[in-house]
Amino acid sequence: MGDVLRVRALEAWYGESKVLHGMGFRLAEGEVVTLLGRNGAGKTTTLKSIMGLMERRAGSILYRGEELIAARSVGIARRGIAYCPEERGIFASLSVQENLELPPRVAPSGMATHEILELFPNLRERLGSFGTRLSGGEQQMLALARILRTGARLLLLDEPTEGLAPIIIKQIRNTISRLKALGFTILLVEQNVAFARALADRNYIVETGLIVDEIAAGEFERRLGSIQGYLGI
Amino acid sequence: MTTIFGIPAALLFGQLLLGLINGAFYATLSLGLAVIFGMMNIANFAHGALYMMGAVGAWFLLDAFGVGYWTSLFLCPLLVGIVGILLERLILRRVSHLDHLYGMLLTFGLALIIQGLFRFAFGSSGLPYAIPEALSGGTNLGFMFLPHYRGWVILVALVICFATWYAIEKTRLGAYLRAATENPALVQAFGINVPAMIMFTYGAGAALAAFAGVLAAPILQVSPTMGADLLIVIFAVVVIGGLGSIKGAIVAGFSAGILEGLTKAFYPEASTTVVFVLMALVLLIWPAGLFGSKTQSASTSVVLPALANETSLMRWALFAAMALSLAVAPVFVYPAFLMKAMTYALFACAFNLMAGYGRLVSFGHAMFIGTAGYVTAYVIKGWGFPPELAILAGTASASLLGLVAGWLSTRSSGVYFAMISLALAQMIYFVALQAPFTGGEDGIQSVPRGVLFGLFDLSDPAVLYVFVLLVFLGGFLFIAALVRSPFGQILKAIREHEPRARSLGFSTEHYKLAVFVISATLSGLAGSMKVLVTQIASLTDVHWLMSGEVILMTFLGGVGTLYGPVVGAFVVVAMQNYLAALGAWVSVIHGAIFVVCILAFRRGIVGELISYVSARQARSVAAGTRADAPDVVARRLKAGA
Amino acid sequence: MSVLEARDVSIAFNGFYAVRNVDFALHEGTIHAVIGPNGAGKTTLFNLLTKFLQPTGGSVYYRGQDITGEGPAAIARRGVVRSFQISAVFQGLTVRENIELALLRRSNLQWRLVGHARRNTDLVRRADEILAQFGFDREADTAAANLSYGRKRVLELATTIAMDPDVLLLDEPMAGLGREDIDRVAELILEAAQGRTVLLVEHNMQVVSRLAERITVMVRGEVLTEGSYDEVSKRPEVIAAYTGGGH
Repeated sequence: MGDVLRVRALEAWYGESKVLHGMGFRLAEGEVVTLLGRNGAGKTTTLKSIMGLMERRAGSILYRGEELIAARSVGIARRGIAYCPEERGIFASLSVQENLELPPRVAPSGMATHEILELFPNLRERLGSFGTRLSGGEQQMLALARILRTGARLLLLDEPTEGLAPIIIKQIRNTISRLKALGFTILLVEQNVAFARALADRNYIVETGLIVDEIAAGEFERRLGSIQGYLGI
Repeated sequence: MTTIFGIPAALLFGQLLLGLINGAFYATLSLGLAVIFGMMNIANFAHGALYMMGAVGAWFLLDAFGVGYWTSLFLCPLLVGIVGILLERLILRRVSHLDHLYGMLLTFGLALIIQGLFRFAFGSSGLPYAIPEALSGGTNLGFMFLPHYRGWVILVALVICFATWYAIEKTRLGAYLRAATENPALVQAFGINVPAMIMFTYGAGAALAAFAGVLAAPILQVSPTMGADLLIVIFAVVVIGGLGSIKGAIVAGFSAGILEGLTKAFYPEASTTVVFVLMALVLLIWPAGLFGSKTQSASTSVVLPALANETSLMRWALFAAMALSLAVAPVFVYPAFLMKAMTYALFACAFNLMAGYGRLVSFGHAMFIGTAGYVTAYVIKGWGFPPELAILAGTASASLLGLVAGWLSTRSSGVYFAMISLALAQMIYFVALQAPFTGGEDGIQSVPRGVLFGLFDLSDPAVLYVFVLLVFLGGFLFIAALVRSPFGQILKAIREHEPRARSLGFSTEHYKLAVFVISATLSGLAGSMKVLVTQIASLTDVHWLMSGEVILMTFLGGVGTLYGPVVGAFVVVAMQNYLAALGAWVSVIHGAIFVVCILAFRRGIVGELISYVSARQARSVAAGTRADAPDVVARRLKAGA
Repeated sequence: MSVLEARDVSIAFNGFYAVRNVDFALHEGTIHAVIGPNGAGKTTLFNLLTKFLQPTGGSVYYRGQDITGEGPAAIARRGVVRSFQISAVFQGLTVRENIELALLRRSNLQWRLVGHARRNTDLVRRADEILAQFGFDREADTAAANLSYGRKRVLELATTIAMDPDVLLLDEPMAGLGREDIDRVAELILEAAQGRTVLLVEHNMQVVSRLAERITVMVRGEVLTEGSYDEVSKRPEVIAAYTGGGH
């Protein structure tokens, strides 16, 4: 036991085309783990499969010992898994406050709005504005802040640094470090090597729908060359 | 007496009040439509029927159980809301993962069933419903007399509109709804049960419609057909306001009512068409309506059924078989029936050209067959045109109408396109009802058939039959050739992937307009032929039921197949002939076929047949050629057979 | 001489700038790549150049002519043809029909309502040539839907080439391809680039270094720098943009 999430032989399809060819990895309680890989490698699809957002998937997804492969996304969220999508999913027709308070509480441990605003102080003055009036960085903060309310303890974050300025990336890095210190288990999809290096306990390399390598935090420096090779940098 | 712009003030205020009342109903009903559209992406054709259920329900509760107005005002919406929830859960949900078009067709079928059942139970004449005692009488405001009940209707409607707007824009539940409208999958991934929300939203929309129905019962004619015609005006209102916009529905609803009232005071002849004219004008300037943002609704690709390995020999053999059997059929079957069926088959084929190959499902195709019919009948009777010229005039009129209607509507797609086409057709209906040359309710009767090219006397049944057969076969061949022509290929490409077609340099909007006009023209040809066959042009040909019928024929037979519409037309016309004695049941049966067809065999009769044969061919070939079989039998989506 | 040029173009969605004040010129006869991290605005720039998006500011020029007001179909008819990030073939048409469609646009048959395209021998011959060139001879009558993902991408390229474009814009032509396919497609692109101007958005740096003579790096909707692969890849700001800025 001890694994929060254990994925085995996970396969997923978009229509007729198979995108995941048997992914397998695990997350222990309190770990930050990244999935690194090029565009189209299947990282986002992996997160979507865990969340039950793919039409067709097979294999095994064990969450705290419970099989989720056949569960619907509503039920998966209610079990305490929260998802922050790549495109951030800020609702344009909702104000920042409404966006923040949208996800329902699934566990009593969810943060109150004022606690969340302490973590993300720059959202406070924007509570009344509409979602898409925010800058990219603010949108990303909001997307992260939003899922902390629910009380979920496993967070799936899809490229939180995408398209953001270095200064914002730094802020997000600090936030995720704090979340880690608070005991959240985090599965992070990334292409940003520096970001992964700063945060991750372990890194999985994803290529064509498969895990092809695993790199622990301690090995990161030594294997930087091969990581860059995998990512095509 | 005071007058304003030459109109007595009392009359003007009276009409304004009536307009405001109508506006109140328009707003309440389009509000429900907007909410349902936001969640489900369908134009709810059953909305009129649900509204009618509220009104007739109130009458029935009073008549049978002595339940009064105030109780009905709560009880009817509750009951109809439950009906709505059941309809969503048991029927609409089954197609929610498919193209939204199917959901829309289902609500259309459901509307026919409900309306038919109520007509069977309550007859189609008006049912009296008294104004509740507390609200009888009125007050003299000095400049006009205000009946209390009318004031109440306006007040309640305003409250309802505001409350709905508030609930959606300002409450937490509303935030869920708005979020689910934008991105249902993500909302679901937050642990919110979106399917349940959709179910209750539909229920709430139904309840709102029923509430409007009860409100209407004391002042409007209560009858099973009261919802159908109103619904089309509501569609125009929704298009004006912008699809899915709550604010737009309210603003456009009241404005349309007031505009109608003013038109009644100043130029009564135009009062029934003014909302549709307004819609056309708004569309010209803002294609997405006043407050709307989108003119396109997302749609998923529907794969057209087609035979593998079809050869040109097979195609010609099939055509020859059809031609031959139609040539000998009059020996066995009434020629009148066959001729009627052939004109409808041509109409359905023309419709299919657009719906199947162009993926533009029009709900207003009756305007083309109807207009051509009237023009043909008029030029024969009024001006003594020979049949060939009359057919030409009728067909040309449909082309012209197609050009205008197509120009207005083809900039939109999906649900929006369907609603615009329906509203435009209703405008034509009202013109036909009121214009001096159409004969109003009677239509143009006993149209002489005349002598074709001065040689063939069409009053001879055999000559007429041959003529109709040749025109039908000619039209069919033309469509068959068109589908396979370069133009047809481009249409198919646009249907598959419009952005890619544009990136290859095709001005897709021109092709869509072209197929619309071609379809309108062929429909017009069918309309002209129908007048020669039946010798009458009447309102039923421009009525929305006719538009529904051609959709039914096409989908029943198999949309996107060449022979499907022909088969569908023969089945539907046969049904009408043999079931005519059943009266109101015909519409119930039509509706039921719609529902069953959409739920159980979406590909239609011919489409299912093709799929079955293709699957068998694939199996036998696969057995024969081992590994590379999938490539060999790869379904050639030749849109034939 | 610049074939396609953007001057000071911007586009904002709900107040958020996806591309901001970008100046960009594509020179005759070059293979030019736009690179940058996800969300940098590369595809948006593409959409602006081909007018699938209308810029909120600035202008687009084709051979010195202002084409800011033209629609995507008109741009395509000028010879600027694009591909899509997510493979865009006509699934329900056969491979041959996909190619024929592109050829039709250049023929005078596109408004022919009757008769079959295949009666035109020139068109058939040209289609055969392209089918052979891209190795589709045996799959000509297969529905495009039944091709593998890699073959679909090749078909899309073939259709684009069939248009005989002056400027070829390829949006991530290698996305989702395996290593073997990547090499083949790279060869095809080099071949197609003969006598043409090519602009591509690409993530795969090996591909970029192999194909592109000139590279523009975009970050957060703006142009960071431009130059040859060797120049660009050594600049610290580019490395920072790619590895995330932090150290």
